[in-house]
Amino acid sequence: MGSIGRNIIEKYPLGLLVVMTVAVVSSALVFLRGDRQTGDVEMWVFNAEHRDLFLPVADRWNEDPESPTVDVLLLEFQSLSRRMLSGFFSGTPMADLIMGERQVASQAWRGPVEAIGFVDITDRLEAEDLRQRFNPPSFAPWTVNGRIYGLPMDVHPVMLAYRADLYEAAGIPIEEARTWREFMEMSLPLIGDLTGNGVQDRFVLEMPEADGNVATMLILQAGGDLFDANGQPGMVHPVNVEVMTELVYWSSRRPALTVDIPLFTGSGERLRGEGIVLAWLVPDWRAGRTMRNIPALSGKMKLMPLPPWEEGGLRTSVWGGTMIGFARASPNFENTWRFATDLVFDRDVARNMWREMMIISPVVDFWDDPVYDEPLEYYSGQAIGRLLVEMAGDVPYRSSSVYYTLAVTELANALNRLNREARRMASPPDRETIRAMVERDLAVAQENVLRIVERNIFQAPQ
Amino acid sequence: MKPIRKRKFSAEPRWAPYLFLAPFLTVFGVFMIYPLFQSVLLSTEQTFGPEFTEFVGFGNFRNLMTDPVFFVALRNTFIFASAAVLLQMPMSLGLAMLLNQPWIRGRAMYRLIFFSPALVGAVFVGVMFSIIFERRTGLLNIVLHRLVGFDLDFPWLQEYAMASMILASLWMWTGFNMIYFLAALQNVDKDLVDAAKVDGAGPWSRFINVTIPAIRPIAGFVVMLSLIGAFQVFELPFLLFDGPGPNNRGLTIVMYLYQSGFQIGDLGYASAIGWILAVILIACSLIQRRLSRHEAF
Repeated sequence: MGSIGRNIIEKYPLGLLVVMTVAVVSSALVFLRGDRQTGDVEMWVFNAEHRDLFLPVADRWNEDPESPTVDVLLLEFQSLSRRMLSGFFSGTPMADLIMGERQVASQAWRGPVEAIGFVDITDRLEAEDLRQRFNPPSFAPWTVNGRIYGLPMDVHPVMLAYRADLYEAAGIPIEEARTWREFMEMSLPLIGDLTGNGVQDRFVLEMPEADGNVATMLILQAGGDLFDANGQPGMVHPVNVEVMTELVYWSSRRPALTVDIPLFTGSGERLRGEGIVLAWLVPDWRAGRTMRNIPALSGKMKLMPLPPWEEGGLRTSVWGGTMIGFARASPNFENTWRFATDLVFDRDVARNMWREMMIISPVVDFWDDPVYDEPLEYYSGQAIGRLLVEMAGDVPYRSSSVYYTLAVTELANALNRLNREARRMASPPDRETIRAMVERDLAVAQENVLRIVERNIFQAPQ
Repeated sequence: MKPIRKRKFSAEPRWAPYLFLAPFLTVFGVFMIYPLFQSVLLSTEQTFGPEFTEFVGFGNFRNLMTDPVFFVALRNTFIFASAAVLLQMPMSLGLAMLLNQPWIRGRAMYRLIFFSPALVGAVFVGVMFSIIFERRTGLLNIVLHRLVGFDLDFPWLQEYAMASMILASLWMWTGFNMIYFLAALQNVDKDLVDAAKVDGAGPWSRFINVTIPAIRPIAGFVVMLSLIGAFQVFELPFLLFDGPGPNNRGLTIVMYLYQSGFQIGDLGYASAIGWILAVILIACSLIQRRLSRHEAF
C-alpha cells in the first residue's frame, strides 16, 4: 500500500471511509447504468396472467428484424394507476400502451375531455372495420361522450354457479326456475339451521354488503343502472328500487335467503366450500377463480343462466372489465396500434385467455372456437365456455362514469343500512314497507354521489 | 515564541451559524415549508393535473361543511380518539402499575409480551384482526361460541365496526403506552411515597396525591401522542374493513382524505380536509400545553 493510502487510513475514521466508498461506488454504478433500455413499444399490464398471455406475441415481434421491438412490463395495480396519471398530468415517462381496469382507466376522464390522456380510437376502429368485430357492450366502460378510448379485452358475462349436487340429491330441477322468485321458492327446502345449533347455516345466495358489485349486477340484469343516459347519478330508478326491495326482503325474511359473506377472502371461499350458500353469481373470470380456490367442490358445481326478474327477461349481467389504452403522449401510435390489434385479434391469445384465465374474448369471430366447447370436470362436465359465450351477446350496457365505483359503494352502503334496519324490526317487513325504505335510502345514496359529481367543475354532463 | 499567523481565509463569525444551519434549512424549506404553502394554495383550487387548475376560493371548505360523509368521518375519528384516551390510558397505566410491583416474577418477560404488539405494525394488525373478527370463521366468535355459547354469526366488522377498531388498537397500543407509564412510575420519588405512608395515607390516597402528580408530565405527553395517532389513523381501519367499512362505519378523516384525493382524484378537496385535520391537531396541542403549564414538574 502506498504512502497516500496509509495516510488516508491513518487520518480518517474507518466508518467514514466505508460510507464514502459505498457512496462513490453506488453513484458511479447509477451513472454508468443510464436509462433502462426499453423496446420501441412499451406496454404496462397489472396482471401476471395477462403478461404471460401477451409475451408470445411480443416474442414474435422481437424475433422479426423488420418489426419494432416490444416490451411488456408487469406493474403493481396501484403503481400502474399512479404512473399512468403522473404521465398524463406531468409528462413523466410512461408506456405507449396501458392495460387498464375500469377503476384505473376512468380516472383519466375525470377532467376536461381535451385532457384525456388516451387516444380517441373511434375513427380508427371505423376506418379499419374493426368495431363490428367486437361485442358492442364491451366498449361501454371505455366510451366517453360517444368516443372510444380503449380496445376492450373481455366481455365478462355473468351466470349463476350453483351446488348441482345438493339440488339433484333433493330432486329439485332448479334450472327450470322461470324467475328469481321461483328460484328462491324452489330452494327453500335446502336452507335453514341444518346442524340445530340455533344459527342458520345454509342460505340460497351470497349477498355481500360491503361490496355493491353483486347488487349492481342484479340491477343491470333487471334493466336498471346507477347513472342515466346523460351520465348523471340515477340511482332512484324504479327498476333499481324493485331490485333493492327484493334484495332486502331476501335478507330480512326468516329463514333468510341471502347471506353476507366476503367475496375474495380465504374465509369466504372456505364458507362457500362448506356449503353456506347454494349459489353465487359468477362472471367468466370468477368461474375460473372458483375452480382454483375451492377444489373441494369439483364435480358438484354447475352453471346456469341467471333466473330472470320477469319471465322472458334478461338472463345475464356483467361485472368487471379491462382495456388496452393508447397513451396520447406516445410517439409510436402506428406501432402500438399494430401491436395492440395483434394481441386482441390473435386467436391463440383468445384461446389461451380462456384456458389460462377463463375469460371470454370480446372478439365475436372467435366465439366459434372449439376451445369453448371443452367440458370441465369441475362443473360436472359442462362446457361452460360455450354457456358463457351464449350469454356474452346479451350483456347489458354500463355507464362509463368516473363516479361508477363511488356509486357502487354508495349502493352497498344503502343495502347495508336497509338490511340492518329491516333485521332490527320486531317482525320481518313486507315488500311494501321495504319499498318505501329503499326509495328513501337510494335517494340518500344518489344525493351523496351527486354532491361529488357537482363538485367537479371540469366535467360537463355527458 | 512563534508569531500568530493570520488566516488567509476565514468566515465571518456572524455568518457561521447560518452556514451550519443552511443544509437543514434548505431541506426543511424544500420538503416542508414549500409543500405546506402549496397545500394551502391547493385547498383553494380544483385541479386535474398541473395544466387544469381553477381557483375556487373557500369553495372546498364550504363543500366540506355541507358534506355529511365528512361529518361521519369526523364523528368516527373523535369516537376513536376518545377511546384511545379514555380506555387506553387507564389500561396502560393499570398494566404499568401492575408490572411495577416488585413481587411479580418474570416482569421483564411480561413487559416484552405486552409491548410486542407495537412491534408488528398497523398493517399486520389490520389484516390479522380482519381475520379474527370474521363471522363464523373468525377466531373470536369461535372461541366465545365454544366457551359461552356466543353467537357464531356475530357481525363484529359489519355492525360493530368502531368497537372492532377500538379493540384492535387497544391490543396494539396499550403495551406501548405502558412502557412510558412504567418509566414514569419508576421515577416517582420513593421518599415522597414513604412520607405519605408515614402520614397515614392509604394506597388510593398515595396514588391520587403522589403518583398521579408525579407522572402527570409523562401522562400528558402520552395522551397527546395517542390523540395525534388516533386522529391520523388510516391503515388499521383500511385493512380491517378493506375500505371505509359498511356504510362508512370505519371511515376516518385521513381515510376520507385518501378517498377524496386518490380515489376520486379531487386533490383540492383532500387538501382542505388535511388542513381541517391540522387545525384540530393544533388545537389539541394548544390545550395540552395550556394544561401542562400549571403542572408542578
